[in-house]
Amino acid sequence: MNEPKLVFAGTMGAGKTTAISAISEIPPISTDVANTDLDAHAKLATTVALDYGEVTFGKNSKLRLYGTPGQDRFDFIWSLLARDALGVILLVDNSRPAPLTDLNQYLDAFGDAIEQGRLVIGVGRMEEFPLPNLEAYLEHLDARQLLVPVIPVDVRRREDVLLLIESLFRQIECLLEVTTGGEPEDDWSELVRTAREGSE
Amino acid sequence: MKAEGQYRIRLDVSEHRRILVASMIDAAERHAGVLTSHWALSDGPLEPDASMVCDSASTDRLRLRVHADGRIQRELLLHWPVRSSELFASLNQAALLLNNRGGSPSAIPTTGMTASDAHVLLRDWRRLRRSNQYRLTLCAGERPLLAVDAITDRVTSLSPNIRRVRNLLEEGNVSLRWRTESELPAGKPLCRSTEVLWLLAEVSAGQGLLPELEHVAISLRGWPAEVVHGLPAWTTVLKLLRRAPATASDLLERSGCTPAELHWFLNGCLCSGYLRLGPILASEMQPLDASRPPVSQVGHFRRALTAIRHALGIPA
Repeated sequence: MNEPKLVFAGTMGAGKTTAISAISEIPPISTDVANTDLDAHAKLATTVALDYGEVTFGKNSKLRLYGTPGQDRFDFIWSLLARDALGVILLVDNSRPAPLTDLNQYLDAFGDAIEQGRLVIGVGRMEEFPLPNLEAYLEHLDARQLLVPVIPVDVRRREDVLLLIESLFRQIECLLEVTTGGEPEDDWSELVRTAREGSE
Repeated sequence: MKAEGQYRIRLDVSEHRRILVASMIDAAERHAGVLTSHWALSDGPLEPDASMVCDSASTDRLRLRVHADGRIQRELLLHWPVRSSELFASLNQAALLLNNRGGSPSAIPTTGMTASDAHVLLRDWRRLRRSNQYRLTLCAGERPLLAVDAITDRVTSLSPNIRRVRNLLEEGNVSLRWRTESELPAGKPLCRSTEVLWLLAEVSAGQGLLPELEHVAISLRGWPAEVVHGLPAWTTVLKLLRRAPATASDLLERSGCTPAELHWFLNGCLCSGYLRLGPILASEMQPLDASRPPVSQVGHFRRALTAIRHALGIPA
């Protein structure tokens, strides 16, 4: 898992490119072109292939960040990208006419990631478009018997993107063996912990 | 040999923290004008009256554990940076509990907001939310301090002195109450509204809104994102609840949480709308999910997640 990938998915204009920009240490490689699908979204440029960013961790490992194209016609790529991914961050745009219907399409496409506890949902533009509210999202997911974190976010804020990532990690850790304290750490974890304490 | 009115405390922390914490205890008592220290550091084989430990997976908390009858009776949480007054108050609480063995822990005076105060605020919050009141201010008397928008989950500070909700709750010298608003006043962005609820749940702990849990099946109807800022043991609780309902005693036994920590979690879930309580149906109560990755992958995953967190600057 030296080069795990993190997938950012969502409809056009949901903020995938922005979210990647918020955390990538390289300028995101974007494949924006003029948007010819103005019926679907009024923004002038949109991603037609993939956005790409990177975060280096450890000594030489890279977390690869991929933003999926938002248009429905590329939906076959979504599940391909999610295969073997560390996780999926699904961004929902609450300003669209039917955000919960949008959500359904992605829940279907990323069923495996949800089953494995590797998907988190960020709902954007809730401040201007408060409905459906969080309770509606909870009910919607509950009706499908899904237990997925749903967090209102503004992906222009780096801390909101980090909150999504940390929620995803906590979920993943739930499926791992849980250390409840007192058990020996491996050398690497101990090294990181020591480094953290030393930098306090 | 300890003097009368003196207690043994063991510091189960790393060496450099041990020196720091020992000096803090000394300074806290001097700061409070105590002539003879009530707390003597204990390294001997005898069971100490109390101990201090750092969280295993988080370095931003210190736990003061009060021992009695061969087990930990009560835990008090301290957050870095720990102020002298805060440490002194916690040591005092521990001393009172030790003096009052067998008595109810709730008889111990606390600083700041009390469990009952927090209980009232949580109760009123739920009542207001049930009547679809989404725009609220948290007021001291008539003075609004926080503006809470429950739709967008945002809280803004209406006072330049309030930079952390925790500090506001710790002050405890104001009578706080909710007020409904048609329009929220503008303020400085502070936190999420769920953070306020979880802080209140922490304070209320055993006096929260939960019904008697002894014969209830606990399950989740949503994933509480607030665990990100919570205790490591909650991850285990979530793991246990992810697939099947569980009883409170199951969760206590298998998660490593103290009762107060579990109540904190469940109250937080309840107030944020994540909790579902129902009758215990034997067919639903399943053993821990067996579909976990092979053990050989676990350390690998955990290392990768830790390193990515480190690279992104996400606190452990």
